[in-house]
Amino acid sequence: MSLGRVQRHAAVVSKVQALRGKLLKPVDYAKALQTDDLIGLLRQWYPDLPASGGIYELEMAFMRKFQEEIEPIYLYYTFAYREVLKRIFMRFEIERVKRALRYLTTHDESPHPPILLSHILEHVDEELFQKAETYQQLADAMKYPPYRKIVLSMKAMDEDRLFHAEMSLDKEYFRGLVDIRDKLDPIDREILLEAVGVHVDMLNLNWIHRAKATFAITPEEIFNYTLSRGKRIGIKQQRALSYLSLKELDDWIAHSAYHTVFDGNPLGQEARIEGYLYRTLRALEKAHPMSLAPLISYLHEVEYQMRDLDMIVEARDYQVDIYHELLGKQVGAWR
Amino acid sequence: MAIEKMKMLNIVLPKQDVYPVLRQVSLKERVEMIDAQRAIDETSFLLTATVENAEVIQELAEVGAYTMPTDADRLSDQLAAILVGTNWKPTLDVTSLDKTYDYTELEQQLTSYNLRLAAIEQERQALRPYAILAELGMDMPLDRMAQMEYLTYRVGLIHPASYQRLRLNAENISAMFLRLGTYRRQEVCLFVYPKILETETERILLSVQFDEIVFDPMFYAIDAGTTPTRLRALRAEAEEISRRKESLLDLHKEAIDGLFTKAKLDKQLEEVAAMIGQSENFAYLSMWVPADRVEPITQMIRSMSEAIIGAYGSAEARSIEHAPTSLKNNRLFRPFESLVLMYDVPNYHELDPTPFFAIAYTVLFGAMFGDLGQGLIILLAGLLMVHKWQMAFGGLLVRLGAASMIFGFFYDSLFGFEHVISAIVGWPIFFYPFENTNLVLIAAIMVGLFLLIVGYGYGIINKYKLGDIDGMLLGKTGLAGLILFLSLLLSLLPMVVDVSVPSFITWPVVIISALLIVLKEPIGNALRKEDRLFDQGLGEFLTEQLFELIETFLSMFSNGLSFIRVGAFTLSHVGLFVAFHTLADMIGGAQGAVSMAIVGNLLIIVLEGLVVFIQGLRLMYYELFSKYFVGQGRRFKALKLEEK
Repeated sequence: MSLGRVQRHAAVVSKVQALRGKLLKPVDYAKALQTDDLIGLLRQWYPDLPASGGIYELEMAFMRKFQEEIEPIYLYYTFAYREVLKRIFMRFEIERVKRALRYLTTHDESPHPPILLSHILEHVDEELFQKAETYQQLADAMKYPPYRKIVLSMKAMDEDRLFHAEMSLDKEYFRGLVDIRDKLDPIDREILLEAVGVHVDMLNLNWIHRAKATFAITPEEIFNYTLSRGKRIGIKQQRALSYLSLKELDDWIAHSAYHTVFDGNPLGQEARIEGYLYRTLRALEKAHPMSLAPLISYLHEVEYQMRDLDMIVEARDYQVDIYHELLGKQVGAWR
Repeated sequence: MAIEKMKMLNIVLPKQDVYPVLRQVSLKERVEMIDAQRAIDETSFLLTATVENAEVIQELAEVGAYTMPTDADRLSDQLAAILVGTNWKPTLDVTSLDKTYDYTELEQQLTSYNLRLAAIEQERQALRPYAILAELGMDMPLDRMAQMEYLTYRVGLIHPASYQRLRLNAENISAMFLRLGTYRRQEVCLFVYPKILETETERILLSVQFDEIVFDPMFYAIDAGTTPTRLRALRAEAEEISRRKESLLDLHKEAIDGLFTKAKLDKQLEEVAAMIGQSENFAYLSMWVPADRVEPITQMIRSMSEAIIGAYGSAEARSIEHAPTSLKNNRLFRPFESLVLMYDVPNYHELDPTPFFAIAYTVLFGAMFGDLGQGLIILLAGLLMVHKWQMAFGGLLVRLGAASMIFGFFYDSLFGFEHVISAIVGWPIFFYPFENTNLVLIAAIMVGLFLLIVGYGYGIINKYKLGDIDGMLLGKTGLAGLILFLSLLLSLLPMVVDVSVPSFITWPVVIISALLIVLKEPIGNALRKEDRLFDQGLGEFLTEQLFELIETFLSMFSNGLSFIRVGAFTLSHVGLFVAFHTLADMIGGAQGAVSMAIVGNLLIIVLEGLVVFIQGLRLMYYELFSKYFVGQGRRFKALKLEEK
């Protein structure tokens, strides 16, 4: 192991280990799902949370908490590695832009999704974002031209194609991440491409399956929306899968390396995707303890935990028993 | 050389007089506004009750928020319209406030320039797509292509990864496509497809995030190859117009500065209005003013309005808010105020620590960094900062540089070379630290002890001024502390110099003063005839006092000894040069001597200068300020026009 790599990553790896210790354990999830005083329990873990509040306030509080913990890590790195971190942080931002688009597209009664944006990226004007009630207003909140372009393309469409924006945003994220690879040292480059490759494979399979089952779109469009740089499913394979029928696709998946993730049961599929990715990242971390792997792996854990906490709070607010039961099978399942 | 005495002025005047009065006061005087509305709401707005004031006092019960009728928005909009599209920066010019300017001609000329600039920009936008074609060496018959009956076309940018997908799946795409080249890391592609397949093709293009290049029909017939030349000409014309605009603005500088100043002033007064209260007929203002300006300000206001004015001292005003601190020092000491304020804002009632700080810090810095040549460099750097860049920090460097020069002269040190000055001057007045190390270290401690004694003196006076009589007499930084410190010094004196101080005198004094410090709380409570002697239980009191006493002895010892660093730095300053001289000898020749002299001096000025600067501050803050500085004051924020 070169001294340069140890020097570069030692502080971040120590920080990540310390922060990881603060993440919730499976037993905590079980407690959260059973307790009658959810807020009281959450406040035991996170004393800064508001004493009373709905989903919105709690989501904001979770975001703020994790952001305060994660963002300082940026300062531990220099030059190209800061760029990588910026690209990784974009994931949180993109997920929130997607939620805002979902809100505008479905026009349902749900509250405007909360957002707390990275101060390091400054890609989105937080105030305008919070107020956006139309695509144009949302586009005006976007300071990063690719986001703006994607949001505006939604405005120009005469039909709701939320998937177009979602897949375009994902493309933007992964392209940006891969574009920076040459500035990293060989081990980190390998880790980044491995992590991206597995993630892309699963997102592509999920997309092709969903597109065939749900949307009336042509195989050409399905293929064009797939993401590049998959690990096991290359561009030619992606094309072939795009032209299969749903039944043929299911058969193909059943014989692929990802059959445990896509087992035909839609319930908990997202958690299984996350679980697979999580295990891949942890394996990378184990193989390369002084690298980018611990940080990437930890950031995914944070993302999943944040989502889990939101789901638990949501379940409390809607008080639906069956939902609660289903929830129990998904929360923390990525571990 | 003190903390400026402040008075609170409470003013009641007819509402229509507020704007002219406040405008005049803010331009001519130094005042800090107080939230009069809050004071009125809390019924603490001070006003002397007289028969003449009856109506005013009656209306106090119905005071609401005041709105200042100003022109701020209109003036700001007018200024923004004049400066649009330029980087021209107006400056404040209060002399222009009383003049009137006609902006009609300026605005008309600017409008004609702006219209032309907008037309140029429109043409540039329309030509840019054609310039892309020119860059790719393409020229397409766009006018004829637009007339196609069954087919249509699109040109645009696609990410290389998406283009790869299109190529791989070309046989299934509902359009023919041709890669025209690469532009800014994107593929430029031409798509041609039947009009009846437009919907399908649109969807395909959408799925590859196609970024269309739209050609303005007005230029269909243009030869694409000529567009770069035309774009250059347009850019040159736009630059020329911008230059003319800037010249025009320069020509009308006084008028624009006047507009800017009026807009800023009105905006500032609008903001201040939130602190003014109003009733049906009157406006209520409250402000802090320097005590010596009360009379001139009162006269100025009375000359403009039939105002009722009351002036109140800080003690009367205390129920509303504490008086702000404004340091007032002569030119010699003023630069040191920033270092004092860096620690904390002095309390309004305490002695201004700046003069003592300035003298002590300058002496310590000079002693630690004594060199005639290097001091001169620091002094010159300071002068440059002050006169060229108007940096207040430069003033500090000038003084520290001068101190370094004075000490350097007596150390006989010029850019690290000793005996140069003595060779020129010839008098036996020089002192060589390296040859008198013990003396240097002892002198440093002696100077430190003297400064600490002065510090105790400041502490005693401050406590008296703040009404803390217990602390003044019995506190560890009060009189008892000073006596303890002096008696300890006397008892330790025989260890340093050959004098004998009878221990039957010093030790009882040490014990008595220490006991007084320990018993400060019960003695104070007893003298004030409080119900109980101890604020907490006896056990807790004794434990706390025991540790406090140990800490008092330790800090007295460490505070004094801490000043040994002054001597150490004096020696290390010389020592560093010895090191550089040795390096120069090792390199050998004139080249080595010159290079080492330059590098050595540069390193010492920058690095050692910084270290000495910080160490000096440390001594002032931790050893001395802890003895007397009260702090927790609030800086006086004068209402004044600012450019930002």
